[in-house]
Amino acid sequence: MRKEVSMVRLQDVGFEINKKWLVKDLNYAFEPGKMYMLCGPNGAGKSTLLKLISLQQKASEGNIFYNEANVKPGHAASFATNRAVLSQQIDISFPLSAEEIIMMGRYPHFEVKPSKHDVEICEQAIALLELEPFRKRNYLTLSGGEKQRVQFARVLVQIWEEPPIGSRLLLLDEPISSLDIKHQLEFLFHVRNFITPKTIVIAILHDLNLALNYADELLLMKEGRLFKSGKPVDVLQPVYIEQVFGVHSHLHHLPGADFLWAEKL
Amino acid sequence: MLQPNKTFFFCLSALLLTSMLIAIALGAVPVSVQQMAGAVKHFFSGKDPANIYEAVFLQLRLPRVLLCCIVGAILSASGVLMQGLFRNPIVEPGLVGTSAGAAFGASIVFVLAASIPPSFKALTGPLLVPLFAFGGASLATYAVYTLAKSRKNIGITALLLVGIAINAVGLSGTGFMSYIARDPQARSITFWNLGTFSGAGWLQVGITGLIAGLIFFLTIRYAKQLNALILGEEEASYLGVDASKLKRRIMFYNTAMVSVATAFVGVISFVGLIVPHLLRLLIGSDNKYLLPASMILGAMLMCLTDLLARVLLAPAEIPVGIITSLIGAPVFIALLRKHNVLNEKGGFYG
Repeated sequence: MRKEVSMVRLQDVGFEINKKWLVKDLNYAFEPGKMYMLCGPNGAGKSTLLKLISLQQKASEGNIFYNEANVKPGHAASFATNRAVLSQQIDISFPLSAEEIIMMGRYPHFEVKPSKHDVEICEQAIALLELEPFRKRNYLTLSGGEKQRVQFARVLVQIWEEPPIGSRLLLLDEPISSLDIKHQLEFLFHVRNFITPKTIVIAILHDLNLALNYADELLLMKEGRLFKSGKPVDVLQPVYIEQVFGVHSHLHHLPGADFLWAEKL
Repeated sequence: MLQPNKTFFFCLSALLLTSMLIAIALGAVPVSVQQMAGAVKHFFSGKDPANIYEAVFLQLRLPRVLLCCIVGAILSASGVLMQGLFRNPIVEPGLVGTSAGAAFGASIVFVLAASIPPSFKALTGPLLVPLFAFGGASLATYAVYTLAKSRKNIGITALLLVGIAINAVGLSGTGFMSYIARDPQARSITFWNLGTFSGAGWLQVGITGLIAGLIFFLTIRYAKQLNALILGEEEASYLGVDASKLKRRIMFYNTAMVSVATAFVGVISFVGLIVPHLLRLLIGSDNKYLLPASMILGAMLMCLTDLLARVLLAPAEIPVGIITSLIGAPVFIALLRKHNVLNEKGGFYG
């Protein structure tokens, strides 16, 4: 059974483990056509929140709605054709070529053999992300950055086309930490191009400057709670940065970009 | 790397058939191709075998070679399935306790046969030993799986260590059974613990063949899901795979077929480890091809190994499990060394 996603709404969502609330009192609505970025210190609950949204973890309290339907982890599999997740690091222990991994993204779309259409989509993704040079190589021999780009391609082909009804949902957990600066910018460029009026992107990002310039909406988290949300320039104000991260910073507006720098300790 | 296309499978099958013919022909009593043909002709025309050679072929050699092939296929398929399930290339029914558990279950039947109610025996018929073996194997596999499991996946070290422990429990259980057994039973347990095809007959061929065929058709449908599981349970679930359901199913099928094989021929180690490994190097890790190819190659290797077991000390016989262990253990150690598993936690094919 395939289900649609058009809006993701969190209602009083909380997640508790060993009497500690990793996420608490989260209320938010993610709308299609936008890139949302989650920022915050280590242990602020960003990854946990992403796991709750992706239905990998069961919320201890509150509800998660896709459209207006209340969804639970048991439903996770039925969203495979319009919800994709890129995890931080993926280790495998069997030799597979890069293109075999990419084709796995099409698995929810075919039964036994990939159709011409599935193959075509993988070709497009390989061309788009410039993976041609190592498409035949054993994934295990690739560098960290190359692995990440292959996984990105896999995730993109999974939701390559907009669903006929509802939207597609792309979740990224620190997607660019293993990439060099050029590939980071390329990655964000591709994500931005991927956004359509029927696409929701939610990404965890540690680089506040990239978040500042690429996000449509920014969610700043602290100790499991949503500290502040809104336009990146409004959220990443030095006063909030100090309260959340405990560092002094300055925000500059340069022509065409905003720039945040933190003082030395 | 080879393309696992039709040509590849044709060549592999041709090799299997050749090996089978050689294995049937050679032995304490050699059987020629003409005698084989004669035996088949007489069998289908409803006549008795014309001579001793035809009888050897029909009643001993042919069922034995077929049983070898089926068991080889079962053990190799089990290797592929368990490695996929545990996401670890060194898993094998002999290493993670499945075989030892099955052996213990079966030894109970051998020794305590007298105290099992006749009505129960009548109910199960020839499946009595496999049923007990299945019970033992399920317990052992489940124990290893649960104990070695950390939060995300199963580490090589934890798996090997828990495997050793559970194997030890299984072995001492079997050892206790042979200790309290009266002599002839004890001898059959020992023999069978070493793995042997000497008791092969058409009944075993029928039962194992049926199970192997059934389970192949049930598991090949999960090839794609098992591939997705290579990425990890979490990623697989994002790709729409119900990982816990998949694991339960595969674990059940796998335990069923290994138990049946073990119940009839005893413990045969390392086949399930080496065959999928060789094929991964040759054709890669796509389970859609790896599973059938492993079954064919496993059948072939098993049938050649049994040939060795029969002819090396002819007319005496070496238990085949001794040969697979003698060949398999050094290969296993070489693999561990080559891939640096002994020195650090590392990948296997990196």
